[in-house]
Amino acid sequence: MREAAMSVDERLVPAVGGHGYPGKLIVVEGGDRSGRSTQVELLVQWLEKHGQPVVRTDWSTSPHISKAIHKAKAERALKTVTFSLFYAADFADRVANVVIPALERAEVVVADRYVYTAFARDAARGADQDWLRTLYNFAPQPDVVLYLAVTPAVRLQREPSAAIKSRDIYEFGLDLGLSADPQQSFELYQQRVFDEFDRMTGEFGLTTIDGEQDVKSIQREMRDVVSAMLSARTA
Amino acid sequence: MSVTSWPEHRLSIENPASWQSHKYPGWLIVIEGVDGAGRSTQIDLLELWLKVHGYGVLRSDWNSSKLVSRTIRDARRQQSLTPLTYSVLHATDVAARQESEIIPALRAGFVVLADRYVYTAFARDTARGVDRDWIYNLYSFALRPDLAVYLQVSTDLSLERIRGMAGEVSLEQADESASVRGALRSFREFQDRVIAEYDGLIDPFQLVAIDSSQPMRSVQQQIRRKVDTYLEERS
Repeated sequence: MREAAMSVDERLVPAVGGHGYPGKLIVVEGGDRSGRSTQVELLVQWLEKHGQPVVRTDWSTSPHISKAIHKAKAERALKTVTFSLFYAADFADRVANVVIPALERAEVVVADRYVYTAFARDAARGADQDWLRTLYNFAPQPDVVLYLAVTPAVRLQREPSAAIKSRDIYEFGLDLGLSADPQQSFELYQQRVFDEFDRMTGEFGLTTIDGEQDVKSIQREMRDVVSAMLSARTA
Repeated sequence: MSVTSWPEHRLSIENPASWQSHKYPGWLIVIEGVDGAGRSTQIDLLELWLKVHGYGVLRSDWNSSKLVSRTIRDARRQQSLTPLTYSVLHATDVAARQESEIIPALRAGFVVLADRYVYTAFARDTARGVDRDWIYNLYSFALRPDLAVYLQVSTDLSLERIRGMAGEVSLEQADESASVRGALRSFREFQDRVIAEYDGLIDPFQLVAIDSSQPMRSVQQQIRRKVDTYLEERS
């Protein structure tokens, strides 16, 4: 902390580095339609069954901010930088009010998406990497990040009609003008996001899991990684 | 879809001169100062004068975007957000206005009059303990103003004027004071700190400081002289 004398509450001041709290932070990442939510659900159930108190926090769910984001998205009113910062505000609120308090109580936090989603999406829209990393440097560093890798083509096959019906122009990258055809735009945009995740695997030490396997195999791999991490703590 | 608003450089206190000027035909003029500095009165008079002289003028006030301002006001009432989250939300408001109002107006050759700008965030958020470098980085996306006038007053005079004003401003201030209670003994101390932060911005950001304890007319005359010189140089 650079300005100890002036800090209102040291938790609020951005800091880089490990989180230093007694709890554990597990992040599950993966593109849209990668099966991420199902896997998070199963992981949380498993942890709870083993008596582990779990706090789950999903992307864009701040009670104070997410409603305004969803409304703006539906109206397609979000321009690029505004879009990026709005999500950062939602994230900042959840870090302060959900993630850090749970880590302080020595609980396990499972985050359905984290800063890496923002890094990948914004990079796909042309944002400066250093700027983004500094913007998000208040985020506690996760103990483990499970990244479910599924190629855009496979994801598109999973539920194309529902996706198009939902008309999430941002998920389809239609705000970027890559292609007028929604399916093609989805593939082009999601490929950029996919490549960013690939790059971040090395940068942040993400644990990549082949998300094209069946649900049970993916979950088994995830539990193995989480088990190892949690037992390393008690060892 | 324009992606021109991404920061192309990183703003920092060590290197404020690296802040690139915008390349639009219009002018971005900022009036800054704490509440009680006489900002609104002066900006109203300036707007009128510019219009009389044939300029197209767009007012863009702090925390006024359709997208975000409501969220900020609601959250402030509930005192539910941390200084860091407020900081990101205010930046979202600036980005929303920049992308949907300010840039289009500058492109059309308007004078954009901003009642407060990034300096408000620099002064207030750092006074609340948010890391200085982090704040500058956050606002790297913001356009550099062509002219920034800072209405300078003492804490005593600003408080005297706030007390004499209509209820809304005092209420806003009371809320802010309450949200950081515990670390700040009183609003006076907070105001002192904000003013000190503002004063520290004059040199690095070349703010035009005007002594706002003078009579209203004399302050306005000085502002007009600055603006006039500036507009003539540029046309």
